[in-house]
Amino acid sequence: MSLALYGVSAELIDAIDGLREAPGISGPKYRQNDIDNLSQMILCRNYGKATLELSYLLLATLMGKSSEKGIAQGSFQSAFQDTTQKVWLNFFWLEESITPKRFRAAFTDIPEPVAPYLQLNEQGLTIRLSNSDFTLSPTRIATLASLLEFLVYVDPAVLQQDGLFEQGEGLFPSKCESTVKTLASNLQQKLYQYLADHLQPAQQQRRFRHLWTWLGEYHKGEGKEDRLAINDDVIIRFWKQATEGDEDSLGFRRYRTVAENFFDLRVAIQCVDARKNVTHSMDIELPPEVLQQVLTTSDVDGIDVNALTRMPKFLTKQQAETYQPIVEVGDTASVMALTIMRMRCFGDWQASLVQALRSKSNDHLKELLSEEKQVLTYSAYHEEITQLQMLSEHASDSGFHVLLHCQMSEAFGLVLQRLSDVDLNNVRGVLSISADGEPSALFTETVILAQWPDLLLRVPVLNQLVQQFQKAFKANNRQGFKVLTDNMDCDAYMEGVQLLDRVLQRCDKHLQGLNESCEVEFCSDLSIFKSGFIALYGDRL
Amino acid sequence: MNGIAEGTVETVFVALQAARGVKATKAGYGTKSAVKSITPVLFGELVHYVHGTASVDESKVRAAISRDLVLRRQFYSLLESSRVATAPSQAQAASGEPLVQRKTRAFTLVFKPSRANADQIYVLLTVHAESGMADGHRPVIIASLSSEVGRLQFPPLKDQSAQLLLEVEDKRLVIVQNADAELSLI
Repeated sequence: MSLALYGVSAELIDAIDGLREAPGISGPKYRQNDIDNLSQMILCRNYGKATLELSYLLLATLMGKSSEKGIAQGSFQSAFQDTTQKVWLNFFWLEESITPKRFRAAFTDIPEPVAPYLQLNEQGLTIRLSNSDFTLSPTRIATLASLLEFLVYVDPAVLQQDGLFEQGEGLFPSKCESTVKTLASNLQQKLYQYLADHLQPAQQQRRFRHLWTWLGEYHKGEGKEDRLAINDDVIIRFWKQATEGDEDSLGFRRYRTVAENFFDLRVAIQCVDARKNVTHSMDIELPPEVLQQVLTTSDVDGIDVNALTRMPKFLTKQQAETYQPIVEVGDTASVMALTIMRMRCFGDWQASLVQALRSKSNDHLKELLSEEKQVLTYSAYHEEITQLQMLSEHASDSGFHVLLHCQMSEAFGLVLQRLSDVDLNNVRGVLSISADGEPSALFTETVILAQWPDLLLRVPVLNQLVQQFQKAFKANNRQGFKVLTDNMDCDAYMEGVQLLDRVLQRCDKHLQGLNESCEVEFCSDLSIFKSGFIALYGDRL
Repeated sequence: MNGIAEGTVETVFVALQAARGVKATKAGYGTKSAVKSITPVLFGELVHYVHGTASVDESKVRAAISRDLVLRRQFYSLLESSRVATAPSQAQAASGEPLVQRKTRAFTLVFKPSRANADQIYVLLTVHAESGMADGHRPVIIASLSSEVGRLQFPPLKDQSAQLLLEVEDKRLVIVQNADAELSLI
């Protein structure tokens, strides 16, 4: 299913999810960033450099464990004739030497005879071979470890490389480079073969061509200059046409799918345009490394709203789910706000129709098609989002109460930013007076902290704000907001209020982009969607 | 069209679609009708199951080992290279009764009913010099029987021994006391 929908097999998606949940000796083994990095590497097929780095790392672990006897004979030979599997099992799983600290610790006692070939320095671990040096950065090790774990999943025999590293007789320094390159090449081959089965973009390529052609023809027909413009109108017209067709091999009957595809197309066009401006060329190649960079940059706009549902719990899972489609699409939420709203109101309706179809309950289907009142209206949507924002502001207020309790200095500055200009001037006035009447005194965060009680007395608006925070905290019964203790994780609350602020701002922009869509617009859209659904599903009744 | 390289846009589009597929399960949104599949058991989980070095979902691991031949092979390969001693399957014409003791040169395992509670059994592990284990180590006993496995994770060794108190019907106990099961000490 996911292979057709996204070009990625369910098995590959599950393997990546499995890595996210991988247990470690002190909590989860990998950070979200490590696995995000790995998954982008895999999806962009950008594993050439990483497999080479990994191969050097695997060599370094064997060198670091070389026995004295082996070295005396001029070769690197693992202590006690350990197999490569044993050495790597120990390094990557039992001791988990994959954080910068543990990695460095693992290489502090390099046997003296190995020292000319393996050195720990400021940049990391340098492997000195006859023709070249290679330095491994400690911050890369976790990503490389996750790549190794993925490779083991693809082929469990990956850890058994005794033949290649000649664990019997020992590996001579002069042969190290070719060994590393052979290993890297083998690993790349394994990935290539695996991805041939699990990354199949044929359907996505067909979709692209269809959208691209349609877009060009549509704008040409409208006499438009910009043949690649994508907006709310384009999306709904495309979908409407798709409902009138007989077959749906590309999955364009679902309004949500159409919208998502156009969002991706728009981002793809923007990325390539941006790249064109950098390279000043029309013909731009996108080698895997560049493709991954492009993907990472486009991802920067996304906000991980689920982080706010963990401890301290600023949002419930349901609230995060409501925010998700607004915050995960970057500026699309404001540029194509109407489509986002339509995806929610009519996309949900379509989902329940499809569900009724699947369960073959025709009566239910008929009921759903005629019961328009169960569709979320635009005013109700507006109201829902506004209400959610208000609740989130209370959550944020609770967070500030905790931060003020922790006396976190950055928080005081953030609180003052919420005052009007007039009140802020009053604050400045009070601070100047307190700083021995020096009007040019610098208002550092620590000064603010020191003068805080005074400020509360002299600036009533500030005092009211602080009272508001306290009230919000007392009314908040979620995890992390029940009691104040002496050793609260202030950083988590700070990250939370800052993230929540970004979410609220994104939401504001989205609502502004809706241009106060009203009942009239909803009625007109309702009839468009209803006739579309009847065209799609009406004959099942 | 607009002087833009169609092929390049296609490459980025395809990559974005794939990224969406991966995120869809991560976020959980929009998959209300889809059933989230169980994540596979990865090598790391097998390692921690065998060595007792991190907490894993034991029932998930055991189910995966009994169901998946490839994973089972991987598990046995890992077990063989990690264990320090074994108590082989005692395929004697036994009465079918659960054993009261398993004794080898490296370790001894004794099963003693609790005097306070008839539904509970003490499992006492004593390691001998041949095991090479020191006090403070948290030993693991893995019992394997055709495609079924069970594990006992003991607290740190003190005076070369450690014990557990288990319910009589505990599945782990049932398999460890089975004479046909091979035991491994890690």
